[in-house]
Amino acid sequence: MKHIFIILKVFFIFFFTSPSSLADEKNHDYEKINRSIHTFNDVIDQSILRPTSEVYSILPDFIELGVLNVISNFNEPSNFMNHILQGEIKSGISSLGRLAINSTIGILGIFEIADKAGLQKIPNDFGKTLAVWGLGEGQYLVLPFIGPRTARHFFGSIIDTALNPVNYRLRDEGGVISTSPSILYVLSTRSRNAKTIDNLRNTSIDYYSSIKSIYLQDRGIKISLNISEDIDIFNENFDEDIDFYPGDNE
Amino acid sequence: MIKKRKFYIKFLIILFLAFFSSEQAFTETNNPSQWVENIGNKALIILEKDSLSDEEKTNSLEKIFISNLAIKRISLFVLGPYRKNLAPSDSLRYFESIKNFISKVYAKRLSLYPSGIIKVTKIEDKGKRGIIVSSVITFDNRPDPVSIDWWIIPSSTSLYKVFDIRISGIWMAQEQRSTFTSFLSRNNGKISNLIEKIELQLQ
Repeated sequence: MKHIFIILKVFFIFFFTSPSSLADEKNHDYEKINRSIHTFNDVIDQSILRPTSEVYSILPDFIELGVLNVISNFNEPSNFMNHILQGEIKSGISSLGRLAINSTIGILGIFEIADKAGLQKIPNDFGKTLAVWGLGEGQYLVLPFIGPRTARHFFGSIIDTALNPVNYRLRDEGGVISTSPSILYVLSTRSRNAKTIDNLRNTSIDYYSSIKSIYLQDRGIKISLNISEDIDIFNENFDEDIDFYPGDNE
Repeated sequence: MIKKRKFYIKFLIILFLAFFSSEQAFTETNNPSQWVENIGNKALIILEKDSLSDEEKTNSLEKIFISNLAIKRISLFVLGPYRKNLAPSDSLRYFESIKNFISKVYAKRLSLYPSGIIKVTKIEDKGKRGIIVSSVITFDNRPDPVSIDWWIIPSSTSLYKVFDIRISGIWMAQEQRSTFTSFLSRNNGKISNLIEKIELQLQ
């Protein structure tokens, strides 16, 4: 009972204190600890993930793409569920269709056939479902090995993981096998974005803040039901600039 | 009488040509869509040149950004609430360092992409806030196109300047603003420290 109370308390702190918005640039409450974990993650990335993904990148592109496609295909049940929970019936049916086509004709999802058949992938997650239901995004957190998450996204990820069939199908095969799809996904993603990550790391004057901004902007786009809204938020500070140096646009 | 008529006809032709040609030139350059496509194409031509090294490509792209970015506006925007700390004595050095820094960062990021074809998909006029030109770049050897939104504002020296670029959903000036304000918050709002950091980064 005590544990349930603690979990509920943590849940409420995450979701109902200091909700941030896309354009919020104030320090988040956990910035100090976030920065420490970010440094830890960066060390792991540079010492283990980067070199391993470099070795992984030796694989031909079509194998890497195949791996990503299979893992992406396993996310379709979660996409389907979230579309339905958000009232997006048409998108839900599309997800089911994608799963059926890619799992059969696409051989377990190795080949992306549904896309060519006109069923575009519409990524979704439980974090977005919670947003549609009206929950605030909560605190910005940096999690060990996982990276940036808002509290809402983090909670949503737990539900999405539970909805991923890989976690059931391979559970009996032992821990190593059940975690291997995630590791492959991480390696594939790291390998395909190696130059972007290195570039960001080398050009940013504050790598932690760059990651935070990119993550929040990206998350904002995924959550936003009306894209023009975030432009308006961005515009709020624009008028102040006009007042500061009137008539000087150059 | 005939001479006078010929003179009038010549005068009218010249007047018509002058008006017509300037009107045509105006509509061509005043078109935000075409203006953005011109800049995009300049960048894509550089990315297409296999003879250039990565560094040469970055340098060439940097020049495009230097001449087309609204440097002062960006410089002030990225300071956020700390812009009031910018002393007039520091401003020239600050603007110069931002010009070089932002152009280099944008050029380095753009140089990661292969060449492709740019197509403007939408134009939104935001009044005094500027114009958002949405474009898509498609690549021959990459399945996924990249969406790029250009936030352009009117300029007195050229028709427009680029205030911000959104690549695949990420506004770059907004990202810079987050890093700059974060740095300043941890340095007591001292812009001189920021300038030193930027200059160090440029080295």
